[in-house]
Amino acid sequence: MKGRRDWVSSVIAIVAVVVLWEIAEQLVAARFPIVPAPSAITAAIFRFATPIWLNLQLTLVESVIGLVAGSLLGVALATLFVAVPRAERSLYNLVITVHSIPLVAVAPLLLIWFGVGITAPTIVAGLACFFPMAVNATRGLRAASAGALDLMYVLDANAWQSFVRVRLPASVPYLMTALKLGAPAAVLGATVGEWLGTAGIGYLLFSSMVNFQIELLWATMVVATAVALVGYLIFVGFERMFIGWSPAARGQR
Amino acid sequence: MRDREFVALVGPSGCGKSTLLRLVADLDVPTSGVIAVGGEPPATARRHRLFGVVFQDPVLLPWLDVLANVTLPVEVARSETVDHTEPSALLDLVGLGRFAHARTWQLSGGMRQRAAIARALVLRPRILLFDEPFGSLDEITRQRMNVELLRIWSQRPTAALMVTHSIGEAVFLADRVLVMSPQPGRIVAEEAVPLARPRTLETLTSPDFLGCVSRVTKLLLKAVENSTS
Repeated sequence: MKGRRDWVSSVIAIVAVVVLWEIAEQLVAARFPIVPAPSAITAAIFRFATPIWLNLQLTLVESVIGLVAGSLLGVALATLFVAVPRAERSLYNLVITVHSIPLVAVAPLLLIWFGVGITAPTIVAGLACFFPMAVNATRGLRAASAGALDLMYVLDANAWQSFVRVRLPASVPYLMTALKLGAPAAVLGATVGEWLGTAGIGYLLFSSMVNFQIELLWATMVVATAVALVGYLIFVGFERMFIGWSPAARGQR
Repeated sequence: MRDREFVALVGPSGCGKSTLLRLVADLDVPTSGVIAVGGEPPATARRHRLFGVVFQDPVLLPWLDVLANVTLPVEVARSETVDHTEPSALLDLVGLGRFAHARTWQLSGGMRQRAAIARALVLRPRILLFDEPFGSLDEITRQRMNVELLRIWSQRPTAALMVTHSIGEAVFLADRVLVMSPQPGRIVAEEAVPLARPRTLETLTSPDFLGCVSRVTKLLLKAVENSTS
């Protein structure tokens, strides 16, 4: 009940901002073409639907591959950390360092290595969601209660059974948190990776900027935002479907 | 401990009674001395699944429904000797038949502990170990659960060892009460309980029950006194 009220009030807030923005445009700002009115942006989305859609497809492919690969790598590293604590002590700072490299600096480097194509943006997308997954999965794989692990020990479960039946399910809420963060991050990463390329949403943003196509720039930005938001909402949905048992997920309703 | 004997271990907090139970269950390793469970060292007994444990916290896995929690030991043990209807039969026995597919977080504290008892029984252990199983329940629920526990135990008789700090609970449930002293933690006295079975809520007000409670209370007070002086 409370959740529904929150939802309604955030929709009202968004609608209010858009309406005020539109009114302001009509009244005073019509002579500033660098900030188009919401109605103009909406019209531009339809006008440029074909180029946006064509470039979006590429970005979507890169984001999805990047999200899957980056998250799998994150889980793999977390599993290593949990299984071999010494690995965590020696590698953790390295991971932090890699995470601290700005993605905009990585992107041109990857472009030089791999050339123009989907490889570089996909890797940037993967890097963007790797870190949240590695951190959250490490915490998640340690989230199983001592009691549950005692129980598995008394039942003479082997390490694999304890992992599959207790550690892994207990980590799912943490994995979902990482995916909620990772989905928009992957879209952002792919976009950054396309910035200097020849296709994709990132390229479209860059080219509309240099060609001073302000409305196309805004339309592309709105679409990219919507896509990132949908990615986030997909995992919110998964969370509600699969981990209703988790107090955190229940609390969000 | 004899077969089908119910032994309760009472003692003040910190005397090591839970530790003793964890040693028996092979969850802790003794620094010295030997423990035998069913004639075996604890590790062997655990591997042969001779005992079932009911912890203070029911530790039900929240991502499984109630029936799946009770079935968990069968799956982990890959046991083929246990009838596949046994988990539901046990849920009926503990009074949770209607809640087989409920989520564990929808159950009350007493119901969770019932499910934990069913889970401990599912591999037909020879010994049941209880670590303060009703410690977090209110007094009334606790009394009802004790009556229930005796009913369940009479249907599935095993040897049972319960650790508790409630003298009344120990006397009500057990054939034999062991009294443990703190610092050094050791068993200092033993009292046989002369109450006939089945025991009911009326037993709690009988003179035999009250007499036994006062005898155990005196033994416990003496144990605490001797250790602190």
